[in-house]
Amino acid sequence: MSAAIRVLLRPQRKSSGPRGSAVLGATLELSSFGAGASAAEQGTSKPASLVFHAAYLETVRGQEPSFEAFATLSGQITLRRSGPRFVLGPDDVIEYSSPDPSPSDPPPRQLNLAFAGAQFEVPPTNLAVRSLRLPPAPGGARHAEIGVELKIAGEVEASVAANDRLDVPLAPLSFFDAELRDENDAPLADRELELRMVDGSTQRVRSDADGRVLVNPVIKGPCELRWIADGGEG
Amino acid sequence: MSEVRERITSWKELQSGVSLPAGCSQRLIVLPCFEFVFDAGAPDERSEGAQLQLMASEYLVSLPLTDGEELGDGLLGFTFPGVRRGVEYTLTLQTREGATTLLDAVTLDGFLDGVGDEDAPVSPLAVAALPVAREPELRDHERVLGPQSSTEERLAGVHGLPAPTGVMTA
Repeated sequence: MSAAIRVLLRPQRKSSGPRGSAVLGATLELSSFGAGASAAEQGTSKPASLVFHAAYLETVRGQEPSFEAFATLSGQITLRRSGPRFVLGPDDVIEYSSPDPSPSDPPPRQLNLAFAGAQFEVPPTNLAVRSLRLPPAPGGARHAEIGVELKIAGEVEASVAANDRLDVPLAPLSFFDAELRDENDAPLADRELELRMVDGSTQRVRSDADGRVLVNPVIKGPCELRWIADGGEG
Repeated sequence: MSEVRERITSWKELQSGVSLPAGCSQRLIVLPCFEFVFDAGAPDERSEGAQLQLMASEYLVSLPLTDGEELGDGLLGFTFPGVRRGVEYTLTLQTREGATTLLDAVTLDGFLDGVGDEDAPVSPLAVAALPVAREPELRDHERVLGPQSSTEERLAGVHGLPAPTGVMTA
């Protein structure tokens, strides 16, 4: 019988200025070196879920986090010779315990989710599972701790305490939201652009049918937006 | 010196990039851009201190020849972003001594499809005058992409208006 599977959270850390760093997300990995035996089986797919928990803190030290589950990502898990394999389908989504925010509200805080290719099989077209919406933060919160629980066939394989935790300073987290229109107020739809964040890193983005470019999260600070390709009619 | 070859291009501002704040929702109006090529002759044949002047009804912008991009064969390229339809732009050449020569008068309508819209809320003057809110107050704030080229700074200076903070890095 294989050892229990643990979930590792590798932070996507970027510099947010001379004195700090921003954590814009995490890469999920699975490790087969947990305590106890695993419920996963060689060659047999079993339903599995990653239950994300969050705790908000006013200070990093001296405060015990109180975790609450806020989102669940469900798929199938199996064991291979190379280790565990968590498989997601093209239509799988993250289910949240709180209702979706109103479109008229400011975009909620989000984190990027990436999946280690050695242990996860995620269709590249499934973008819905690549952003994790955080629950609303209470006033005064300065840090979020994100934990995750792994369940296999309904049973807890690895608890929040057994897995990695992600420490997310809230101050550098922001979003970029712009609606691009031409001089006749027509949306500039489906345009390929590049967004450069304050740390110099770049990201390709595309405006939607309404000409909107929404990138969430970004590092708080000025962002530079520019065309990538033909740049329009020039 | 002779010959002005003009053409209108759009979206030039975003080709070189604009700096915008995170943490707010903003509407960006990407304005057409007036580019023209001026045949100024060889550099050693040019009149010292000569400058082009781009004039519309409500403003005047001076473009020293030294601001032009050398394109070879004595050609200089100039860019003037933030123009609007239906406005006639007059291009003149002024020597250091003050003599002015009319070079050309153009309107955007000849270069862009459609008819000039006098109600269009964009003009270089309006670009310079728009306030730029900061988060968290900035929400659905309508903002015009304003270039911060030397041209724009001069424009702002002529009218005593602050230069726009929508930064363009040329």
